Amino acid sequence: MNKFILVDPEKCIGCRTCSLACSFEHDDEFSLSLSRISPLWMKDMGRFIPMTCQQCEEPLCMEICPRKAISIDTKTGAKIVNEDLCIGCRACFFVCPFGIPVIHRDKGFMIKCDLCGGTPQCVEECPQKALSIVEADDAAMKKRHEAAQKLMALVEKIS
Amino acid sequence: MFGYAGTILIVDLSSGKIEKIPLAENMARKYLGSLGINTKLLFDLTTAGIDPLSPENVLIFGAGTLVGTIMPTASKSDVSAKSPLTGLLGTTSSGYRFGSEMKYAGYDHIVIKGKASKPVYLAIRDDLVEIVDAASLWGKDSWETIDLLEQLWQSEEIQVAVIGQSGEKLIRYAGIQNGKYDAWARTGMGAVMGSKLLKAIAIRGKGGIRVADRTAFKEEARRTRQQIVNSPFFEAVSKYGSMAASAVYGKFGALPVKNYQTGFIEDWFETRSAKNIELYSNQKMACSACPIACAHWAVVKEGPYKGLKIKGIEITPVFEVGAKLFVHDLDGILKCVEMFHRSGIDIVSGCGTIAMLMELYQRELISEERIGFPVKWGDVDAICRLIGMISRREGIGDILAEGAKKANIALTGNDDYAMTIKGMELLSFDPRSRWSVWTFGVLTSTRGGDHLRTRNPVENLRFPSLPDDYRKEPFGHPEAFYKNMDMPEEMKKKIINPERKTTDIVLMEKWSEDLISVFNALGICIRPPSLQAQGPNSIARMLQACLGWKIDAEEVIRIGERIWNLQHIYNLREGEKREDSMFPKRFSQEKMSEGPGKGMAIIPDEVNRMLADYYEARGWDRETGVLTDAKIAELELGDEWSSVILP
Repeated sequence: MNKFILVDPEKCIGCRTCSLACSFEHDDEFSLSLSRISPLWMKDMGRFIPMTCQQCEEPLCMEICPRKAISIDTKTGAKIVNEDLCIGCRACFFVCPFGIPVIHRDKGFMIKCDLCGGTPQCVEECPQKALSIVEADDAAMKKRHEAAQKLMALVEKIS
Repeated sequence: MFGYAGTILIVDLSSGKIEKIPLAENMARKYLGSLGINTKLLFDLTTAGIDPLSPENVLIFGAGTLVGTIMPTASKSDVSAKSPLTGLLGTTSSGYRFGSEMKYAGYDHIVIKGKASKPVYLAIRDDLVEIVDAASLWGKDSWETIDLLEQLWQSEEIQVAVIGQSGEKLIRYAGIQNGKYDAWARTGMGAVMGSKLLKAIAIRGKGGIRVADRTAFKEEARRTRQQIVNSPFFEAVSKYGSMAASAVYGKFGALPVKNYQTGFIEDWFETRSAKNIELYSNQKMACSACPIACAHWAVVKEGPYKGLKIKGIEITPVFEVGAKLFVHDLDGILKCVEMFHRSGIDIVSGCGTIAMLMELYQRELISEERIGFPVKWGDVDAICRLIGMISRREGIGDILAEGAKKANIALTGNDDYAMTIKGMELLSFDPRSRWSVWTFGVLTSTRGGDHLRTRNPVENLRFPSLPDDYRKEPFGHPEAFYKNMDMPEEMKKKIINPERKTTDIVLMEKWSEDLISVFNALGICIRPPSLQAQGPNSIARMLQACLGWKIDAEEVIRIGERIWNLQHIYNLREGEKREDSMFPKRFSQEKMSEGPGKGMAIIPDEVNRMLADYYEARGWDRETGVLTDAKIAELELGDEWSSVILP
């Protein structure tokens, strides 16, 4: 399995319930700075975009880590951090195209989305169902399906 | 401490001293947080009769007990000080993200004392608190100031409380902006901030909030969210926000048209109701932890204000600018809202004051020469020009800056066209065509002409409610709704009549004021569907899980009653009199001219009898509104009462 969190920006309202559910699950406290997911307000677009780890197929973070602290969760495919090995050097932050890895403010190791072992709390708590956990291939088919619907609607409109 | 950040930050701008004191558990237990503790601190830290714009006044920010957590809608913070507009309690609440950021930085309350020697701003980065020179920010509008601070701090995540030019110039109804689009708007708290030469508070907090019972809290938050999402109000409020009620008040004919000259606008539904939102926005915006997202991102796509982007289209500005000032279209309304936000003026008091001037102009009681230009109803350019002049105290703006009542007296020698209660400009609904817990509550509000500190949680907008029966408003909900109401059974029986047809206004007034005091202490939202989803029982469960206290529904509602009564004691100490609780004379002297309320006027004797009954229900003297000894003892307010010398 290779899962990731799929985001639907058209549904996100920027309430940050996902962020709070995340830090509560991992650190027992409600804290935006400990969250592994952040909805960002894109003023020009007029949309919120929740940003979290894409669980890359060729993860640069994993490749560059000098301590080999990042590994793959066999159950979900999530790239997870070994807290004992990680030294908080931020090499992963420099290579991540999305700015995802941050260092835990108290504990000094890198934190990022680990898919909560398969039941991500951000997805569970999102009140607008803007987030879902998907299997990579199924997600592609789902997206194609939505695109096909739009295409059909367009065809019908023209003919 | 679970739930709380645990610290009160005290900043003395006169001496530059910065102090952090632990939040005392016994004070939290008596007053919960935010509005409750703010009122207690204000009561203790000030003496009666101080000049609200002097260094003796204190300005207090307080975040709600549940704010910062995942509990749905817990986002609100309150600002309190003595009001320069009313001379009574100043208190105003706002959502968005400032309250949660305060708590992440480690503070439940921020108390600002004294006065700086030059313009400053307060910079809070977790433990690090600094008073910083604000010479480069002074004179800037609130949006410019926020942009500059974001650049300076290299962060868009900072939360900023800021005054515009109107706070600097001590406009008596200046608000404090909570970011660009939200505000602690009412009772002139921006002028108090300006009098202290404090331009802004910028906060970045990286801490977090812990709760006593992890599993129970999460369950309670989920249950509450389900309750909200499953509510019959959810879809409409989530889609249209507060604008969901715009059309119905238009239908009741209860709009504040042209300074309450009438309540009815022919094309209201076509031009200024919920359906118009879709032309501007398809993006909802939530405060922290709120599943509803009643606010909307609006973009003006054409016309003279093309390109204007703003979080808005709320019912209040639409009523105020769209009906009170008679601006016909949402483009123009949004432009005025931008001006109010930038210059930092409370929209309600600003519109109330400008409407007074426009009516004087309409009736030729003031010359065009005195103003400098024509001020016709609905003229967006004239309104924007007036907002600018008020915020700079320029020309007639200097007179208008004192508020509708004082300005009316200064201009014509009487207050015939000042629609105020206790000196504060009245909001929206016309009581002649909508008589309810909500409209009667405008009189009993601890902060003057305002409707947001009371709200009947079982209000039913499907039915009209006119002042033909002063004591009742329609209930009319199904039996299941009645059964599920989170209210003690004996109270239900007292307030709702046996056939479930009507609600007793006087008794519901007390209940809802006490309940909403608790909401404002916890920082949860008073709007539907949050309003109907919570009650003393669910709140007791939340507090048990969050704080680890043994607390029941009875104690929850008693805390609310205590908070309400301490506000009332504060006002008595400042000299509030019973006769201050009366509607402006227009509502009794002029009959509603059109719409469903046609021919209706308010009968002062009826209202006075209701006030006496309300005082009695509250355990106050029927005549004077002074607390009885029994009520003081019951609410454990003896120490506070002993410091009061009735004027």
